Amino acid sequence: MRPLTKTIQVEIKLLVRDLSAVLWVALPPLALFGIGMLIPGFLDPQPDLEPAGLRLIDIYLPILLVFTLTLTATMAVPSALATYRHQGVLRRLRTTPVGPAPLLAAQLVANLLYAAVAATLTIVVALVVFDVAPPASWSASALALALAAWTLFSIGLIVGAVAPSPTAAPAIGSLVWIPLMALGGLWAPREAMPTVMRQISDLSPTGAAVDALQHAWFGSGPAISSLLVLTVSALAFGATAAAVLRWE
Amino acid sequence: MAVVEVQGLLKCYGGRAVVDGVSFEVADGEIFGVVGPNGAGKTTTVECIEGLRRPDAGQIRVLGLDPQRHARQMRRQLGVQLQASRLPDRLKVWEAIDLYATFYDDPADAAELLELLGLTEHRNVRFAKLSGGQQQRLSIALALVGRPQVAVLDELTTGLDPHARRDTWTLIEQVRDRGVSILLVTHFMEEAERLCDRVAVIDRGRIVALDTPTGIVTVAGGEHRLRLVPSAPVDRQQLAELAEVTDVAQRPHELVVTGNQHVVQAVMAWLAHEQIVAEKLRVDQPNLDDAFVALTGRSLADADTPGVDR
Repeated sequence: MRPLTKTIQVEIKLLVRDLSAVLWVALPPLALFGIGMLIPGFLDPQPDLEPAGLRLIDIYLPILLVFTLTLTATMAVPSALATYRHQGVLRRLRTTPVGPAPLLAAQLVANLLYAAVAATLTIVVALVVFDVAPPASWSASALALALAAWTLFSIGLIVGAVAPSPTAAPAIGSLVWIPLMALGGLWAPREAMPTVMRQISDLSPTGAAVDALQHAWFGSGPAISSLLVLTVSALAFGATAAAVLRWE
Repeated sequence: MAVVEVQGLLKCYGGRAVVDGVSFEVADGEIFGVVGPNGAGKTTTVECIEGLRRPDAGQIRVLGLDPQRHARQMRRQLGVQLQASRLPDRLKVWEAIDLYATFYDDPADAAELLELLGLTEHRNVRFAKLSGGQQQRLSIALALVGRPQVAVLDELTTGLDPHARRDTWTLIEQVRDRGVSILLVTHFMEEAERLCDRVAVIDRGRIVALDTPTGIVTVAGGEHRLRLVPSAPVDRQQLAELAEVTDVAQRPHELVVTGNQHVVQAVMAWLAHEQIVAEKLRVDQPNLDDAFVALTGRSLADADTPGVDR
């Protein structure tokens, strides 16, 4: 078996052996279930949402999907990277013919799969329990999610590179994901944001991701400006991650 | 034939030379030791050989390859055990070997490797659950999984109890007997003396002696000491006048005679001449520790640079 495939296999195994990771995967679907069931009014059609008649539970699906990516990217990825660096795992790999690159790639693949599982569970809850409509455009939704994943995982790699120790990684990760998700509308959706915050949200990777995904999912036309913001962030954060990445 | 050649190696940090003009060769099939106190520059030296650090000056060849320019080619043939390098906590022993085997074109047989390192019964144990000695053995296994011609082992018995340390020594000899040349880094002089065919003693970034352990001890001098209980009273003054003797001391239960490397023969001859029998005779010969003191004027413990591990 080739080094990359084997490394991916091993990283997935290690992720599954981590009990806390297994429990975290249930968080986004449970969150969606909780807000839909517990908060009054979330299941009522709202005439002023776009397209008209959408419910709050509908617009929370894109928010929670972006949340899933954000949390995995800024918490799991930096921790793994900082730990592997701290323990000398990456250094040891540098002395082998393949180097540490396959491990890094495997980490990203394993965490993307992890996020995909959490996202799928969330979508299932949305569609089955709350009768949310399936995506109006599968390809546009997938594009929005792919660009968001690229951007957010690049941010995660930057956090992992900056973090001086494995314990600092989740702390810095929290400082990153909390404002990102505030802009993404986790606590108050973009539609309810004050004007200035909404403008910042429009230019943020998470705000743009939620907007692009919402448009793609509910069929209110392509969100050109948000897709542009996402593409620029993907390129900028990707390049930064590649520049700051360090093995030691 | 030399499998590792180091010529005039220089590596500086913050303007200070940590490795300052180190040169040596490791011959095919030998166990070559790099010894010295912590912070002497041992690890920096081997990290340049492993290609993890770029030398500021000097030339390194491993099997004729430049560790920087021919890194990939070199890494196929160089096995490495790093100081203080761990594996993921939840990775099992067999998985680690299985994973590292994919990094090489013609890996060693995993089952045989586990057997050689005494890890067969621990093959399903996670890294974090292994004892220190087992973790070290696994890291040696990973250094060997690519069937290297040369293995660099850095401080492989640090943190092990004396029993595990002796087991590891036996293992290293077995590895050498399989045809792997070994470059061993250690700050345990006893380990170097026991295992190494030749030794480079490094202090403050420079080689202060390079020879067989016996050769270094002989040249560095150091005191030989005899402890004995004479069968009849001894004229200590007369004994002390022997050219080979530097000191004679009467302890409560024994006589202690110190002197140069020929003191044993000289004292035995003198005792025979006086028709005195030496009972309970014990000879303390100088070891590499003593040689280090003689070479540098400092004891090994004093020479350790606290907090620095290069």
